[in-house]
Amino acid sequence: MSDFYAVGKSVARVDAVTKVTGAAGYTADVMLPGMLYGKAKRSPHPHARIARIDTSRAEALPGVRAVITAADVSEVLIGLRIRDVPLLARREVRFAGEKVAAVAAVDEETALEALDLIEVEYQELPALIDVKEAMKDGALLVHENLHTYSGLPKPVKKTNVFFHETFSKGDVALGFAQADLVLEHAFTTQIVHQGYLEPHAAVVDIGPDGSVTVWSSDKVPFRVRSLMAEIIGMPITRVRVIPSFVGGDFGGKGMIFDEPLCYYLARKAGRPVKMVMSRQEEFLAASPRHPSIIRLKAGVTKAGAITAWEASALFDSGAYAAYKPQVGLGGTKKLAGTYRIPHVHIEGRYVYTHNLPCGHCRAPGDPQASFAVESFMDMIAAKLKIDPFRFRWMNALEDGDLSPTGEPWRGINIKETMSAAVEKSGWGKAKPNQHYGIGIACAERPTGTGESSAVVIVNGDGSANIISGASDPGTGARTILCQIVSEALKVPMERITINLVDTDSAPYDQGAGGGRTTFVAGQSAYRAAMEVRKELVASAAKLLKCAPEEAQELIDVRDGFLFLKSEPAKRVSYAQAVKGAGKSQIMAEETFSCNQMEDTCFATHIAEVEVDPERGYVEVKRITAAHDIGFAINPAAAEGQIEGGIVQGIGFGLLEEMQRVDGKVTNPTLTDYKLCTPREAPEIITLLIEGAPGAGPFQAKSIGELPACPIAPAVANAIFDAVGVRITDLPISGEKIVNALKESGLSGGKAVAAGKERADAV
Amino acid sequence: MRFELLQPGSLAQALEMKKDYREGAKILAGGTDLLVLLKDGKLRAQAVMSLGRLSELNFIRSEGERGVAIGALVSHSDVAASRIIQQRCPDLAEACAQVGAAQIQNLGTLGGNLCNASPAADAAPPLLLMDALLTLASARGERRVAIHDFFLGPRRTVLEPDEILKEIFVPQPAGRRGATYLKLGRRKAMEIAIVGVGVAIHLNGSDRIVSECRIAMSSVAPTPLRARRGEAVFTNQEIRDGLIEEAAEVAAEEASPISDVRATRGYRLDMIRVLCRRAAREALARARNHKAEGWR
Amino acid sequence: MKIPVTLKVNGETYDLIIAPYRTLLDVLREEIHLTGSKKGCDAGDCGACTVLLDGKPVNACLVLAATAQDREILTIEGLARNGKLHPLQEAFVREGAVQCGFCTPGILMSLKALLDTNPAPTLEEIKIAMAGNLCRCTGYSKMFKAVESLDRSP
Repeated sequence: MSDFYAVGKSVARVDAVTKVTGAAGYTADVMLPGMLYGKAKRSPHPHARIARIDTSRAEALPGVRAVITAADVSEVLIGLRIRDVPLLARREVRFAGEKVAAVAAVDEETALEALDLIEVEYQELPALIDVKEAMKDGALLVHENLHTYSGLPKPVKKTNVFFHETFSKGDVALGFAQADLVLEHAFTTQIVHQGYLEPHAAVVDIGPDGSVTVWSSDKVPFRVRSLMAEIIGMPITRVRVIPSFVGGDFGGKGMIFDEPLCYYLARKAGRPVKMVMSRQEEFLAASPRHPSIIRLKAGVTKAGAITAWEASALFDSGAYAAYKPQVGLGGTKKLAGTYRIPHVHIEGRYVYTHNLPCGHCRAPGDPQASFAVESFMDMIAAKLKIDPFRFRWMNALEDGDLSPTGEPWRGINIKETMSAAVEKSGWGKAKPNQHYGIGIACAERPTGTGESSAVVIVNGDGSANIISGASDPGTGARTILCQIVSEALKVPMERITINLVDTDSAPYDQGAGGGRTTFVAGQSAYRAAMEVRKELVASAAKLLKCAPEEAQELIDVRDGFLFLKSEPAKRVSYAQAVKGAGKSQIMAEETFSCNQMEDTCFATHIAEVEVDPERGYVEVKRITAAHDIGFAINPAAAEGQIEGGIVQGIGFGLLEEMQRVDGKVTNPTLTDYKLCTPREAPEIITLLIEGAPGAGPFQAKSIGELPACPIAPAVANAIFDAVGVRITDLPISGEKIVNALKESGLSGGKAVAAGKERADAV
Repeated sequence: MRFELLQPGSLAQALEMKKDYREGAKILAGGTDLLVLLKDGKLRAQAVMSLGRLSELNFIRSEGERGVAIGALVSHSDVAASRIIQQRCPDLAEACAQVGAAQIQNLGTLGGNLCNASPAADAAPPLLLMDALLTLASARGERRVAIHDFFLGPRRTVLEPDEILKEIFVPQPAGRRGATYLKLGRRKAMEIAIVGVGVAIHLNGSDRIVSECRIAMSSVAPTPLRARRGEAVFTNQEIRDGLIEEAAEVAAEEASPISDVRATRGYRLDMIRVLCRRAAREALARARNHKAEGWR
Repeated sequence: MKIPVTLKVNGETYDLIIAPYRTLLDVLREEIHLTGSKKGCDAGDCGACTVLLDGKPVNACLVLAATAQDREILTIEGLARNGKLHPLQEAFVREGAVQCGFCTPGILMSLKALLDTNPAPTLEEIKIAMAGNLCRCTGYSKMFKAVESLDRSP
């Protein structure tokens, strides 16, 4: 391992200096001459008919340059897969926060004042805010014309359940018949925001020839381009998207938000327009994680074998399904965990309501499923009086097993992550104090697939460039690409450049998401670099007097030089090789595309907590996280993904919740929507488990999303271990713990005793 | 958010301006609450009067055996870092150190925290425990108001439209005293109290006889308030099993908390009891440690 | 009506004519074009706009620019001196403490203020100094490590 040139090392990020000096430009930092500031007017009602909009007073306000309503914009419905969301609400609003009009003015204050002058007359309508109500026969329909929408896997009519998916293996009836014990429980998870620090921002400038330039905080510039071109009705070549640094994503930066409005306002005003969502708008109308109601049923033998497993999930999609690149959420398939179960049946239902629309949030669906499954595993273990670790170990998949839903998986090493985490944590050791608890949870998530292209160039001076449209919303992807190319070409990192390039200048890239970039963009860069290397070797062969047919075998590279392996002292520089080829640069482009594979990743998290039973306050003391990563191209970057996912997961488990009353978010501020501050950050031990074959360059696997999955149930299981109450409704607030202790009659000291009893039993 | 900005250079000038503008001019001390309200459109102002140039209101002054005078514009971080405050009113220093985080503590002022009249004001319970006196100034003159009489309701105080809070005077309590302020939030920082409880215990001679107890609470009623009946449970009592629990129980009965996005009424009531018990134990321990007579 | 304001930012003097209700954050970003201070919430909750005012960290979104006249303002752009990174910046780069970078400027300013008064902080002191700064990417771990990696000899 140690003979790698550039990979496997925690090199500094290529953009770190730019970022620590404040020089990195994000979309909201874009300032253009004559630029106007746009703001959107939003509905206060979850469901209403728009009877009338009068913009005349807003238009008359000095400083206002344009006002638009649905009448001014395309009638096209947009979406990442299912196309159901209008650019501005037309005749009807379907959630509180939906945009009904927009203004552009010379400054933000004027734009905000103009919003107040837009008169919208609403006829309020009954709103469906309960997902179970929305599923009933004869329920009010959120979308009357659902059957006309594109992107649905199969047309459905007169229902709010726009998608129903099932996964089956074996015969669950048979499996339950074989069980000694059948357990069933329901779990609920809340709606959470991705919590990226940079709010959505967009700037649009229209050239004199009608061509459109877009700056966007979206992490997928090529998708911004195609959506904008489609809305405007232009070929994509007329839309140029200039990427900025992206201030965090976690799944929330994949859909266009105000970009089309900027375009229409700019067209009407004849000046560039910038729109930046406020933090409040982020909470009212972005694309947070779906809340879920999950029911699990398991059949087990007294000895601890799982004979059957049934799961069903209801996901409240809110008013629109447009924010999901897939129809469903990948997490539904995870509702049977990482265990060997012969008979499995899973159902997922996705339901329209008049709540705010939900989208993708770090491992879409997985944290919800993981919380349910891994809490349930502990509940079953407790019932069987088996240690939770041992119960998992007995049932954990092993290499060669099919997945719980019957698919082939490659390189299953869940047990290695389990033993590594147990070894480095406090598992099995004496409790340091009476309020202490420890919990374990496992999870799995595949490496993402998709399409990327990269151009690699070695220049006349021997330096190298990578031209890639891959985005890096903070993950380190662009650094990883440089390391991969550095390794392939044996050119030092400081001689390699990767710049943010626009959609006219970079080849197509599907964009970050699903944990695909290291694999897909990485493979395209690696392959392009190897092509360049071949050409350099071929050119050097002449200079080193090596037969061309043997050159690739006999010539090696190092530090930007080529040499015969037999005669390493005699070197030809890359500059000479480029010149020798009669060129100014040697360049290759490779496209890599993969839509299906058996590659997946595993993780085990162990949480150690202290619970104050009187206040219900939970302090997460330490997390031990073992991740099956294949190969860590940049260990520090991989650890950073894990550490960030863990703290985000603690927020999901304990703190965060977008509270709603009558369909309206009641805590749309970072005062009352509680992200973990530095003081909530626990000690984190990250264990990178290498060696399983990954699909990425150098057998790397994916790391972006999985860390956010097993953390909440690990914490929930640790709380149970500490105080003896099981909270199955996220987030686990102090209030819920206190109330559960009261209900169980275990308040205060008694609860601790009960927790001990349980611990002694296992 | 659009307004005229007034920046008086002296208190006298500020009072003249306030006389003219009255409610039309909102007072800007630290800005940590006012600017958020203005940006949200929850408050509109024709004019905002920044007191930033009134260095004459930025002082902490020991007045010997009488007590401590604190200018209304002293920041939370300066209160928390002040040796005088740490020695004489450690619970006030603790409360100010629990406001938001460093940035907010550097901007926010003690006077602003009181005039904002949030039911959750962190500085209020310690000042209620010490019967602080507030000097309200206007062009008409000055008056002193006991902090108990200062708050009228959420965001409402007895300040007249032409008045400005000038000074907070903390009289020196006699005897052996221990006090603490406990704040409950979901996180360890950046919190608005779900419940805040301050308890002060006075001992006379014996470590076991409480001569006086004071209990103050925030986030449990429309204004920060004293739990007088809870206090009475302690007064002139010998410490015995169940006394602290009883006082906490009675204090909770004096609260009228609401359910909101931060917590339910039921949880708040539970937490008043918990915090009250814990604060009383800590205050008692501190009082027992307080061997010297009076303040050094 | 706009008013004249003189701001001293990173040692340079800027004579500006601004609306009196503009915040220091907006003026830094839009008038002086120092966009390193970020607007994450505009309400003092996230710390991304943290600058030093007379050496103390404050939320620039909660300060009216006009009230910062005659005070020393230090922004992230002023942290490196003469092209040389501040040791904190170097440590953040070296330890992998930067991910998306949006919170980074504010966090560096909070930590700079800490180190100015306390060159050898404990982990708890680091956490308290950073408590007004949110970061969603890093889980804070590598930031703590970066500060702890600095030379703590007095």
